[in-house]
Amino acid sequence: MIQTYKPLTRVVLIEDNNDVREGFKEIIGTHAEYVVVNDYPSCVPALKKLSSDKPDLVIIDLEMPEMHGIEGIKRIKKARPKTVILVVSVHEDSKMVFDALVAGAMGYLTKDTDPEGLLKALDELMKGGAPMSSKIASLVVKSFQRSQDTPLSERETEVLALLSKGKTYHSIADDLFISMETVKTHIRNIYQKLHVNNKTDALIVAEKDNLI
Amino acid sequence: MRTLQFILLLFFVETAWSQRVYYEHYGVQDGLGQSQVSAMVQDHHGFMWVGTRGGGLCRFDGQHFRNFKKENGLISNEINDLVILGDNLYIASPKGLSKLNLNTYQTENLYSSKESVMSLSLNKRNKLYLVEGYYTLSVFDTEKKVSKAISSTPKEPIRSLKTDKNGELYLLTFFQNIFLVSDTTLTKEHGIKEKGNFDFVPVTRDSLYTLEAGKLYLNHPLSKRKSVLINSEEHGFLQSAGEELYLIGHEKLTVLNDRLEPQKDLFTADIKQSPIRLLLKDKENVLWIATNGNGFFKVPSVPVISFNNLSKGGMVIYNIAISPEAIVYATSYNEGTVLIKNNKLIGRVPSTKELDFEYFRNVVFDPQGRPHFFFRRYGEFILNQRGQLEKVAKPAKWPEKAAGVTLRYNSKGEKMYDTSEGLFIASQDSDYLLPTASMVNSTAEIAPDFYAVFTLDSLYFFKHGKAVLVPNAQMDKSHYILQSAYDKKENRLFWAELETGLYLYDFDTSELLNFDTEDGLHSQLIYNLTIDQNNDIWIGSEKGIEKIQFSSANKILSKKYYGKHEGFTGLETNSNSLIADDKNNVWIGSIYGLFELVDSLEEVNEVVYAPVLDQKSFLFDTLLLSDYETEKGLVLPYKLNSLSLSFKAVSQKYPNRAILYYRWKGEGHSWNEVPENGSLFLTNIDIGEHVLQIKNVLDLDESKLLEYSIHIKPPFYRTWWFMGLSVLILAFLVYRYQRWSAERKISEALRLRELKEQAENEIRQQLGQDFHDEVGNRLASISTQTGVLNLKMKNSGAEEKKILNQIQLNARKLYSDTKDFIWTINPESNIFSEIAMYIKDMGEKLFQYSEQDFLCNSEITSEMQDVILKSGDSMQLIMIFKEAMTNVLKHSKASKVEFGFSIKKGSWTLFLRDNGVGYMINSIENGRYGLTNMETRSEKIKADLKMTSSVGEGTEIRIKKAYKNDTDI
Repeated sequence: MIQTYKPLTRVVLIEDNNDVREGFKEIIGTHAEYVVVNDYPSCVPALKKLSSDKPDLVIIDLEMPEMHGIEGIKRIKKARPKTVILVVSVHEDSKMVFDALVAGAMGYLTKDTDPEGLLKALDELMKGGAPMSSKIASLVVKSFQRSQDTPLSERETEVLALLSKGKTYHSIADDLFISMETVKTHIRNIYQKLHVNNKTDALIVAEKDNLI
Repeated sequence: MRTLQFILLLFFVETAWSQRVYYEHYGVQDGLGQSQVSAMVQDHHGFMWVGTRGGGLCRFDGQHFRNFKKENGLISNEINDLVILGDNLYIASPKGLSKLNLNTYQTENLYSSKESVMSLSLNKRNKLYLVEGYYTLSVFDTEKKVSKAISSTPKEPIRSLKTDKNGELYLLTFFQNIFLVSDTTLTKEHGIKEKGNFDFVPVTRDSLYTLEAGKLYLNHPLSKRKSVLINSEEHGFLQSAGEELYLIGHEKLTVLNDRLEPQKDLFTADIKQSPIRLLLKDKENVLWIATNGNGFFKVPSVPVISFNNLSKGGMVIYNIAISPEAIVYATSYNEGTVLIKNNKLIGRVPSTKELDFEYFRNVVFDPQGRPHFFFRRYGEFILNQRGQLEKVAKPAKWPEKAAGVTLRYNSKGEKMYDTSEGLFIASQDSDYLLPTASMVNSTAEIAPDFYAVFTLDSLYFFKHGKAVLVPNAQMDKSHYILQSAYDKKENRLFWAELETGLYLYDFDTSELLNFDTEDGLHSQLIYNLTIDQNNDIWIGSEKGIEKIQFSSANKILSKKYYGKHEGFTGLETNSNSLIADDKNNVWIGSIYGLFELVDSLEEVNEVVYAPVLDQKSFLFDTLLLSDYETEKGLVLPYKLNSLSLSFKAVSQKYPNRAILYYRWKGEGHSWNEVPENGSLFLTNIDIGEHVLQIKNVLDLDESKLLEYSIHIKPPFYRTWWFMGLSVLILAFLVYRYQRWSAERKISEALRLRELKEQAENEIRQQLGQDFHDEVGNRLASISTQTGVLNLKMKNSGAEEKKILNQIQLNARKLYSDTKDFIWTINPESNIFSEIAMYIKDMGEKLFQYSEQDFLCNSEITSEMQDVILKSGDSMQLIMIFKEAMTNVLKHSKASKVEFGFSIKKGSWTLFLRDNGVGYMINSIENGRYGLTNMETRSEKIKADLKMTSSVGEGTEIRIKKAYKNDTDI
């Protein structure tokens, strides 16, 4: 019998609330597929150790001392584009969350999420994008409207539009005659294209990837 | 008794004596253009137009001449005839026919004829006929300005054209034939038979007068000729003037009354060497006599009769008295006394060497009516029935040193003497003297035994022989009183003072009043004074006579002045020589003789001419005013607002009486007198339309006002349109400014409000956020730690796990509720679309890991973004739906949960329905499933909450409310 070796998902925690950070560390530690390689109370030390930590997943708070979480996200994304970033924050300020998503986060959670919810969110995140609220969706729509060339496909645009108008994932799936998974895939793609929609990042990405 | 000198007296012999009427003579020396007058006509303004041979045309207003000659536009200075038709004066001259507009004085040459236009005439249809040369009679078309000769004119030299009282036109030839002119047809009517001087006056178609060789005939009917009494070779012409017929000789003028009897030989002596050319009677009944070489005479028929012919040298009358038999005794120093009755001289008492009238003082009449003559040196004489002056002895008790001044009789019939020592009364009982400090000049009896005695410097009152003081009456300064009179009816005393005017003392009110030139008297040098039958006062001064009417309250009601133009050429009157007779005619003695003013009380000038604007010019500019004239007046630019206007009001009968007054119509001013020369200087006339009104003071009902319009145009910046436009612009600017200011204020208020709200929201949010951060982090810590604890306590007892779970749940709930609360602080949370989306996201999150499909098929619309809920409502709605969703998640066993929202007809609706097990609503205990809370919350926000559920058919919760934007300003 041939066994396939699947490496553990390397997780780094950046959270200034010690209790929450320790708690997340404990909770994630219970999951067989994840390992918390390091945890930091702020972005600065985390960034210094990024190359050695080599995280696959970063769970990051926004309101932190020394460096704001959004800035941290940008730098992490710049250093390690493939790292998946999940925002965990007390704030559900749509603007801040949107900025985090634009910066490179793939999803967000509130800090009151229970352990089970946290682990499920991690699984979902690694598979696809985290759920997008209608408020975020409307901000995403406006963001793409400002850009002359929208990178979204027709279907992605439809999904985004329905979401921004208040439809639920299930409703969207019913309206478009697609599955929930397909809706989530579209949302994930939208997130990714949202990252690139930031021109500066796009240039950096393009340069890095030798696309220019 | 002194031997009386024989006095020539023509008593009872009434001298046939002709009255001499008042007349005036005007010639070149008075301004007439030339002394040979060929024509005269009067226009509707009252001006007399006089045509001369060589002096052009003259306009006469009763006092002054204005001449028009070739340089004024006339075709010739030699004028043959004049006629007025409408507003035009047609002028016949050797060179043709011209006309002058009587309103504008513009001249126009109408027709240049080869022969002299000798005469003009109008028939009853106002057709104008010309006699050109001696043989041509033409009709002149005034419209087409064309003359057409009448072919049927007889081949006889034409002497004259005349019209009868019906306006029919007749032509007289030198062959003594009279033709009726009907349009363009001539028919012979009559032939004058006798050779010699001849003339005619047509009366009607059937009668006419003819003068034939000095005899006057009335031909009525035409075939029947009746001779009248006149038979004088001296008369060569016949003319009618007014209602009278005149026989005109070379230097003789005779007027015939309606019985054709000669009335008077009009002033032949004065008109000698004045060949009479024509006669005219004007509208005021003034007779005009035009002469060929001596100008013209004007006989105004004023009611003044002059008796100057009684004396060759002229009488200086200084006393007039009237006897009870109405015989006028008029005395002069040089001539003695003339006696006149019924305007006829009936006698004289001449001055002689023995009885020199130089010392004469006065004549009075005793109770028997006998005249007493009083002389200063000679004393008293009575005129007996033989016409002789008989000496009368002095009274027995005559004061020794007293010199007699004047003799009077009192009401008792006693003689009173004004003397140098006082008033001496020859009483029936006893003679007595009322002494004064100086000579008595005048005495007036106020009541029996009550006298006012005027000396040279004082006024005494004597009552029952004693001097008394009368309050206010006795002046303390010296005056020279010449005359006095007592008004019995009003109990007041008048006296005339030589220099200070007329005085009035009212015994009832003890009021002393003085009237002089400031009160309108023509002079305050008053020589004499009398009261007539109507209690009116007559005063004589150096300027003439004045009649004054006083009211009972001693105010002047009216004044009437008589001077030269009223025929009173005497002017300077003498004291003791003014008296009214029983017919109320006033006799006046002056340095120029004796005059009688008849019909003086009810005299009414029936003909009043309207004033005329004679000349006009700018006051300070030489520009032509004609450029600015309109039909009604003038329209002037504002810079040319000063004018000189000259007005005239004509009265040929009483030129001096036509005084002009002016005022601005409708401007609240009273009438002001126009200066004597008729010129008004109007300076700085205000901008606007004005009407200057001029009236003749004789025009009592103001029916003949002259109105002259003067319109001063404003500068453009004062025109109505400019000012209106300016006002509009200003109003617009004010409106715009106010609007801008209001908008700015509103905008500022809004901005401040927004800033305030923003600041408040920021603070609120920041506080909330800070609170949430702090609390959230704490709760997150609790939640996380209890979660970790739960994991570590896998093998713990159920009770401990339960408690731990509860702690975790509570922490998470508290965290969630705090988060919701913080969100509702956000101003966006009042927007319906935001609330709907929040609740939907809340549900999405709640049901994301459940088996139930959470659906929301409603879509946000732009209308939903404009619906604003009341502050605080969002929190209640979140709590309601959180409760409801939790119920569905936990209890409904539904597979599908749907949340929806809508706006319809002014109401918003939110609902949550599931397809779960449902329940019997009435069976639910109070408080279970949070239903009571939901109802309470919905009541708080005054929304309608409706729950429907039935077993096996799911549950629906619907909440609805009519919306109103609470945040509207």
